[in-house]
Amino acid sequence: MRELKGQYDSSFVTRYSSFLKYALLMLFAVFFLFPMYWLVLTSLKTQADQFSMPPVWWTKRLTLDYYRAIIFDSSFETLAFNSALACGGSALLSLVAGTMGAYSLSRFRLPFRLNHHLSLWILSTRMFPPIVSIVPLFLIMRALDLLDTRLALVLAYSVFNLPFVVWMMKGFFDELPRELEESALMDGDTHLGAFLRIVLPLVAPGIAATAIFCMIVSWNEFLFALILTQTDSALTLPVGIANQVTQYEIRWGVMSAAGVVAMTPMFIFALMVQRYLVRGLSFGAVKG
Amino acid sequence: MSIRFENATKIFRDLAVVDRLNLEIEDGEMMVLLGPSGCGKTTTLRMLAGLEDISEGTIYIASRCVNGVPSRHRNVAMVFQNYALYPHMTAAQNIGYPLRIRGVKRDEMARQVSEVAETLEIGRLLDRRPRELSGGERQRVALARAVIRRPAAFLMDEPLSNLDARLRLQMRGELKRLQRGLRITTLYVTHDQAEAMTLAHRVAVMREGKLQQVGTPMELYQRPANMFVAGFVGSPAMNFIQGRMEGASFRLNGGLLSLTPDQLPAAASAETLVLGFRPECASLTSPQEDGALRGTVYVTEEMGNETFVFLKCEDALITVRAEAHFKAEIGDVLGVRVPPSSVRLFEARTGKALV
Repeated sequence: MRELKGQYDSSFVTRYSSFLKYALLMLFAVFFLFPMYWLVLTSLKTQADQFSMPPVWWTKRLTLDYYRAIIFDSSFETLAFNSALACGGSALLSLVAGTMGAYSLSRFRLPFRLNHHLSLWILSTRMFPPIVSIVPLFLIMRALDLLDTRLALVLAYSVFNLPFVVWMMKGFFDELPRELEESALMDGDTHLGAFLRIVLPLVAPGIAATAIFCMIVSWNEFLFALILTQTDSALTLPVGIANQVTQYEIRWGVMSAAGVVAMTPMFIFALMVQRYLVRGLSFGAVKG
Repeated sequence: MSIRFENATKIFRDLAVVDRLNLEIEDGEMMVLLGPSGCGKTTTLRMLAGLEDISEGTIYIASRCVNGVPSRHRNVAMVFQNYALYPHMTAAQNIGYPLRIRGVKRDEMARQVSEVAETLEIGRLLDRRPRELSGGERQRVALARAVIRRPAAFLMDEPLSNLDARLRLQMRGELKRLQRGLRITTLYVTHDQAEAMTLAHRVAVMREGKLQQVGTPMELYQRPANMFVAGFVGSPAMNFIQGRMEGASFRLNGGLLSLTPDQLPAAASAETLVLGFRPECASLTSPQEDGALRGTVYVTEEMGNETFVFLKCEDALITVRAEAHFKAEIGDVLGVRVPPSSVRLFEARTGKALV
């Protein structure tokens, strides 16, 4: 069948606008990916190339010296361990508390529209910038004698992860038909039993995605770690890497190599849960 | 085990969704709660299940007051409209779940599961997960899960409404055989009058939270307590024509319909009357016939084994059943003969049946 002329026109417009769209997206991609490229390149460049002017955009003279340096440096390992503990600990804490909170908000009707108010209140704690809370948080940690401990970071990160966990998990629970639990209750189970045996296994993928999101946020966190920690006993990777900027020199090679190594696990995590992230970030506003 | 509702009331935001319900279901009986959506039938079922609190009144299961008793201690099993099978478990695990909760040993559980699965003819599906099952198969798994622990009562919330028409008829028959075979007290909720008529020992019709009438399907069909029940039970619905008395006769547009002697005293007591008759009780005749109701053909529907003729009689649209090969054109004027003995009289204002 011959198509109408008008349809040729519209398909031309569609193609033209989709070309524009992709061109724009490419531009953005280059803008955001270039720093990554630069980081990886710098971590592999020799020191001479790092400082040469005009900059070396591409070179075959590569070295693994900086990677060797951080891998055999025990302080890097300590920092990585601190980071992992702070990030894993806060993810665990906020998941346990947040999942149960989200379940209650999703399933139990409180009087005076408290469900709605509580949910918004929890969300509102994420609305102010972290720096607002840093001074009170510092004072609290000092009073509790928790400064420069990993526990301080676990607690501080949980404060920020908890609202996210509650909202994201609430979305997963809301999508689960209530009849499943009612059916379990009718089959003779308790509320807790129904939660553990029916609800949790069904939202397990959601829990995994939420956990990874929490870990990414905590792993990258800089400000709290900077203020709340000082020594190797609690210092995390982002702050430790920044400390390579010293009074006398900036160790670009070591910093870049450490940056690449620190980035890798989160990069993989993010790829794994990309699908859920988009959904979680829209906070269940859009139903599929 | 018998079940008794005593003034059971459910109030949602000042609105009585179920209003002082008194109903007794005998041991082994299948009671169908029938009514349009929003009439409170599902809420009634959920109160009995323990999924909703009882605002006022009392519910007894086997003479034990169950107000405030959690679902798991009521020993009743429920089949949900969407079956509510656990998606992460196989059919066998779904069926065995009630036993697993009760700590039944693994091999004993497996034995009972396969036994129940055999009765419901789903033995070969036990390893599949719910999403790999068809609607009818899911329905059977849900039934098996309810049956396996021999509960005091079955509660069923429109269990057939998610099935396609043919399968629904088939499952309806099987459900009836299953219930009659096991003789387990059953409360079945539906808005489908045909399901209610075919399944129930007795039917309870509800409307806006209030019980309208309880009785066997035949009682409801033959002696509806009010216009609502009369219009809800039977298909096509009963015809209603408003009118008044003239001596011993009811004034119809075509003429006078004489009533039977036992209808007269009741008819005389009401100011305005509504006359009701079922499509299958009336017959078509010549418009000139004495005492016949006159109407113009609105539309005809041939069903194959019978034909329904819809006629416009002044304001009312009435239905008459004719034999399969009856032919009429839209706009034809026909007479409708209504035997006085088949007529039900209702008071127009309250809708109450008069005889």
